[in-house]
This record gives sequence, structure tokens and C-alpha cells, in this order.
Amino acid sequence: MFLVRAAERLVARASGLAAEVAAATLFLCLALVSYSIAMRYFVGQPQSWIDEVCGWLVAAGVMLALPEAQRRGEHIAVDVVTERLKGGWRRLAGVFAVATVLVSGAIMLNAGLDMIAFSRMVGLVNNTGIPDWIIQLSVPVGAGLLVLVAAAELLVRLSGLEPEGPTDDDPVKRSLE
Amino acid sequence: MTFVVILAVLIGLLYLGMPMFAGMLLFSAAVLWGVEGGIPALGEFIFGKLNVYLLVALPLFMLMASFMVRGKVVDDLYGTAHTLLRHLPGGLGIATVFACTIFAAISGSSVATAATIGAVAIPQMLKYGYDPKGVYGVVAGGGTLGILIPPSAPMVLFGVVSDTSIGALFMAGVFPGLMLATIFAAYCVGSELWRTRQGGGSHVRPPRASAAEAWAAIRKSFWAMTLPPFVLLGMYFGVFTATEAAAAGAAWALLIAVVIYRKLSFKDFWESGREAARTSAMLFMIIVSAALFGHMLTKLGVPDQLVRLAVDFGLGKYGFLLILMVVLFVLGLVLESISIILITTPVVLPVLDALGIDRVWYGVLLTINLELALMSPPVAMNLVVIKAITKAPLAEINRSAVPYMIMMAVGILLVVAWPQIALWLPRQMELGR
Repeated sequence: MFLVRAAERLVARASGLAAEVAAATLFLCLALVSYSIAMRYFVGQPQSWIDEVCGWLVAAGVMLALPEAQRRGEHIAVDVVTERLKGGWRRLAGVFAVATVLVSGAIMLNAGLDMIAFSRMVGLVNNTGIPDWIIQLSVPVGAGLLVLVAAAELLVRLSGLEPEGPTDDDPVKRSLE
Repeated sequence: MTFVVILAVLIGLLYLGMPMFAGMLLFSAAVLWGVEGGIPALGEFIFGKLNVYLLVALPLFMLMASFMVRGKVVDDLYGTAHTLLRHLPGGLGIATVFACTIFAAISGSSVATAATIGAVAIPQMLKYGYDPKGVYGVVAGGGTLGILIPPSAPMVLFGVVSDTSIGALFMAGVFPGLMLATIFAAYCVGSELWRTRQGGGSHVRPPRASAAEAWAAIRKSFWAMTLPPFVLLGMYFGVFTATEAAAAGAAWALLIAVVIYRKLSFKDFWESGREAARTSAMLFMIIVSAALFGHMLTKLGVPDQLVRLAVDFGLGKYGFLLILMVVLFVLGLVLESISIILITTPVVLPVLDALGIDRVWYGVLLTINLELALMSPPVAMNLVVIKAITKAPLAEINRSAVPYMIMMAVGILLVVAWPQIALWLPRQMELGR
């Protein structure tokens, strides 16, 4: 049990770190779009490269925040039926749900690695001169982390434990409790 | 028929409790593997759906709302509305609708609107002797305005998946949103007058605020009320695109929260980013899965079948729209709003285009229908929020929402009958599809 919890916490650290990077990409987007507006109106120099970079940042932010959203159980799911289940059936539903995430993550990881291999093989480079595979790296990295998070959660559930989940300090959620 | 079977199987799978993105991705992948023997370039497909500049708008609008809430800029919104409107019959109900309307223009989320305004408004209304059924209903109904009055998260998602101008959708939501707010406020007044006439006893009507009191209340919420016009007028006059409006709005909200209110700590600031990143990840992965789902439906020829069906039955524009509204309402009973947008949009778009239905018009009708979904059990998020605030029996809360659901249905019929209610503003701005 100790090892299971240790693995869960280790993966939680990694997904938490990825989520911090995702938050940073978002703030960078905010700064870049604000800079773009300022340059267009105050200096008269539109910065078209910002649109492209923001697209990459969104893709990176989404893929990097995906594992933490899973760890916190924040993904949208229809739980009308499963929340009424009790005992073994409820545990089974939990195992089934996380297993589907594990398989989805594995499919995305495989697809991401194929994409990187193809981009490197062909030597694809975008308009800014950066090789495509560097920008696309967020897909296999995020999907790989998602696989780890889901695998750890599956391990925890199969051991008869409940995932530890986040320590949430969200004020809106707090006000509803 | 194919689509009905696919939809039934998908809903059945989702009811097993798997996350929406995983359910749609696995189901679509399995069908595509069965039909085509694989999914070529899936990695490029995923990356391509995420690498979209327009998507930046959604997390930036989330940041804007979060800065305003965490910076406590919106805390006095209800207090201001209360001070200005409390003396009217049903005054606190009107104040709730008013506060929801302003908050909706800041948050873009119905659940957040119902939670934030409801937490302050419900205890106040109960304290002044308002009928609890009316109290729950007005918060549930007013809260739904969050996704119709811009900015609106569902509209951004619909705009992205349907390739429709998000600016046009936002502008098209303004008058229908204000129309519904006015209908809700009129209902508050009418129901209170009727209740008094029937001898049901009236609520306590506090005295009208003095000019000094009213001015003090307006000053308290002044900065919160600057944000909606800043964002909307910026888009209306073409100063900002939707994405730029989101960034400018977030920057403005940050400025107000940090410089004027001085209540946004660095921890709050960073937590806003974390939260927006996770929520975006959750929503955008559903977009990716829904795109794969749409790709699968196209491979199976479902959109073409639907177009043929609509043409063969001679449904016409209005017949098809009304049937679609009923279907969306039924889906709203079993699915939450994001899923409804992303599952149905790829299927109905070809039919909309074939019948000459304006996508912006449809986007507004879809959004009002999603508002209905937020109040339709068993997946009624706004009612769950009210239950969490009040601990009242869910059956009582459900009943309280019925008049507001009827008003929304009337709202849908009005926008179907007079599309100009939605389309006039975007056309003034020459914003097309």
C-alpha cells in the first residue's frame, strides 16, 4: 500500500509541475496578445507572429494541464447513474472510468510519437524557422503524463484505496460546501 | 437512423461514468478502426485541433472572470442592485436579475453566475419575506443568462467547431439576453403583485434609497460595471477581435483588482491561471474528441443522410429549427451543455447550410436551449448550485424553475419568429459568419 501511495504522490508531483507550466503558458498568451494590441494601436506595427505562437501555447497548455485535470477528477462526465451506485459496483465504475482514460492516453501517446517521428523524418519547419517536432512535443509529453496519472489512479483503485485527490482552496467551491 | 443508433450507444457509454473526452475518443476511434482499419495522422489531427489562435479567447475570458471574483471586485454588485431596486414590488427579484445580467457579462458561465449571485441574493430575499419558490427560480433563471450574454464559453466553443465568427455570436447574444432579463424582471413584479392581490401576503418592501445612498452604492460597483462596456464596446466598434477583447478584458480586470481594489494576491493570481488552464484542458480535449466524432460521422455519411431526410420531409427552415429545438431540449435532459454543442454541431451544420439557416442565429437559439438544459433535471447544474446554497429539497427547487423554463421557451419562439432580435446587432457591425 505504501508503494502504491508513493507512486501516486510521485505522479501527482509531475502532473502538478506540468500544470504550473500550463498556467505559465496561459499568462504568456495574455502578455503576448496584450503586447500585440499595444503594438498595433500605439506603434502601428501589427505582430502577426503572435497569432501563431499563441496557437502553439494553447496546444502546449492544454496537453500539460490535462493530466492534472484528470488527477483532480475535473473532467466532465455523466455521473447520474454512477453516483447512485454503492460498494463494489461504485468501485468497478471508478476502475472502468480511469481505464478508459488510460487507453485514451495511450492512443494519444502513440499518435503523438508517430507525429514527432514523421516531422523529424521529413524535417518539417514552420514559418518562424522552428522545427515542427519541437512544437508538437507537447502532445506525447502531455499524453504520457496522462497515462502515468491514469495508471497510478488505476493502481490505487485496484488496491481497494481511494485516490488522494487535490487539496482544493477554490473559493467558489468552498462557498458551495 | 444511423445517427440515432450512434447517439444512443454513445449516451449509453457515457452513462457508465467515463470522462466525456475519453468516451467520445474511444468510441469514435473504435468505429473508425472498424470502418477504415485505422486513423491516419491522429497525432497531427489532435495537434491541429488544439493549435488554434481563436481558442485563446476562452481561457483569457476565464482569467478575466477569475481576477474579478478573486479580487472581490464583484462582491458589491448585488448590494448595489439591492439598494437601487429594493423599493419596487418584487424589487429584490429584479435586483437579482440585474446583478446576474452584469455578472453574466463578466463571467461567461451560468453556474458561476448562479453560485456567486445566489449566495448573496437568496439569504437577502428570504430575509425580506420573499416566497422561497420564487427566490430559487429567479436565481436559477437569472444565472442562466451567464451563457447568453457575452462573453459566453458555449458560444466560443460553438464558434470554433462551426467556424462561425465569435464576435458575431457574442453580439447576437446581447439583445436576446437583455430580452430574457426583462421578461424575468417583469415576471418578478407581476408574480409579486398577483401574490398580493390573491391575499398571499407581500414581502417586506424596504424604503427607497436616498440619492446619497444610491450614489454610494453605484460608486461601490462602479469598477465592476466598467468591464462589460469595455469588452463589448471594444468589439462593437471593431477595436478588438474576440480574442483581443478577452486579453484586454483580462488585463483591465487585473488592473482593477490589483491597483484599485488591492485584494488580488499573487497566490490568487497564479491560482486563476492554474484553474483556467485545467478548465481549458478539459474543454478543449472534448473539442478534439468531438472533432474525431464528427469525422467519424462524416465517414459514415450521417450529415448527408440528415440533409436528405430534412429535404425529403419538406421540413423547411422553421420546421427543421423547431424539431431541432425539441431534440436539443431532450438531449439537455440527459447530457450537459458542452457535450450537446460538440456532439450535435458537426451533424446539423450541413443541414443548416442546406436550408439557408444563419449559423449565428442558430448559435443563439442553441445557447438559449442550453440555458434550458441547465434547469432541466437530472443534469441541471444551476439547480444543483441552488441546492448546495440553500439545502432546500431538490423537488421544490425543480418546481421553482418551471416558470423560468417556460419563459425561456417563449424566448426561443420569439427569436425563431423574429431572427432580427439576434441578428440586428451583428449585422450593424457587418459581422457575418
